[in-house]
Amino acid sequence: MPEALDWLVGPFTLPFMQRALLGALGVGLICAVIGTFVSAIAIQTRARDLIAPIIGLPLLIPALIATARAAGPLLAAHGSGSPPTKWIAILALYDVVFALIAYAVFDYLLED
Amino acid sequence: MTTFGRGLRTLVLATVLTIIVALALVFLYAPLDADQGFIQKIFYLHVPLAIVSLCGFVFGGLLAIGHLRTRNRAWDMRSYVAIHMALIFGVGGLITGSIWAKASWGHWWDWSDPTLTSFLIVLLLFATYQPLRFSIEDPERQARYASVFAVVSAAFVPLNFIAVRLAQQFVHPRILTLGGGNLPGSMRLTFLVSLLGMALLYATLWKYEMTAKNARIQVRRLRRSLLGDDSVRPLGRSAAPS
Repeated sequence: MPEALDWLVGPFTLPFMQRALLGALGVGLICAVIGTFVSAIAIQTRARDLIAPIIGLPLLIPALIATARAAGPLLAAHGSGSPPTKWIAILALYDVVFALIAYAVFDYLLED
Repeated sequence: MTTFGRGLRTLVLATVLTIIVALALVFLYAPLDADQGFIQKIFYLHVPLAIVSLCGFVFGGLLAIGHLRTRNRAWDMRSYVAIHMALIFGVGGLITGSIWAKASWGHWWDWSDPTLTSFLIVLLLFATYQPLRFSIEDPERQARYASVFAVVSAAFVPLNFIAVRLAQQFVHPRILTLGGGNLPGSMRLTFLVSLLGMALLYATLWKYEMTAKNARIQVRRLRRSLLGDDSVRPLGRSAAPS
């Protein structure tokens, strides 16, 4: 029943929605990667409720800035447009680099 | 037994000479900026401080890789001292930058400038290095976790730099571009000598602190072996590797 799912799939045939979805996936992935990494560090510290946010926030700020800049044109009142490729590319770069590094160092955090 | 201070004297002499030459070039050779006048001279202090600080963070991360690979605590100490020194240089860069911004743009801080804000983010990230170390008690785990943190944060520095370059907002002057930038030759020479002087200063301070720490550990070990275990006070919880 393609018509019944049209309300769900339909928007993503539009190019700007596809880009917005890419951006949302990018920021979701980076939050998951950095969140897991920071939690793995903080869980062994004494002040873990303090250490996790103060490490996590600076690591996330560039990704959040890129997301905000990417989402900006979608929400503009006049002359709204598609999320710029540049900011989505920056998000993707963050994703790839941090996912690889976190994967590389994760063994050292969990080895005891 | 190793001598820790080997080469320190040469390094100190080279640093002092280079900084004297740099200062002479700054005040006697480099032309006054047509637009900003005398205050532009702080450029020869501010930019090298910032560049050396960022390179110092990356250097600390590279040394931390050495610790993760070899499990030798000496690498952890090197990484710790490198990040510690880079933090001090970074604070210096921030202060001189604020002074310059006040004189040249009219306000101390500009949140809309990506170069300033990203530098602050990097500095704040590395400012959490010491609290992180302090909150882990077991020294072996402290070294390992700090190294992991240093590696990730060091990767964060160039990423942040790339993002800033892509962001393209030309409030902040670009100095080190591939095309040679827009500096006239005399200013460029002065800048490069200042950068070299600052890098040498960083290297000297790094080596100096390493020497001091190693000597303190050696003295402790000697006291313990000669005078017995009671002669040295037990180490308290510390952020510094020992």
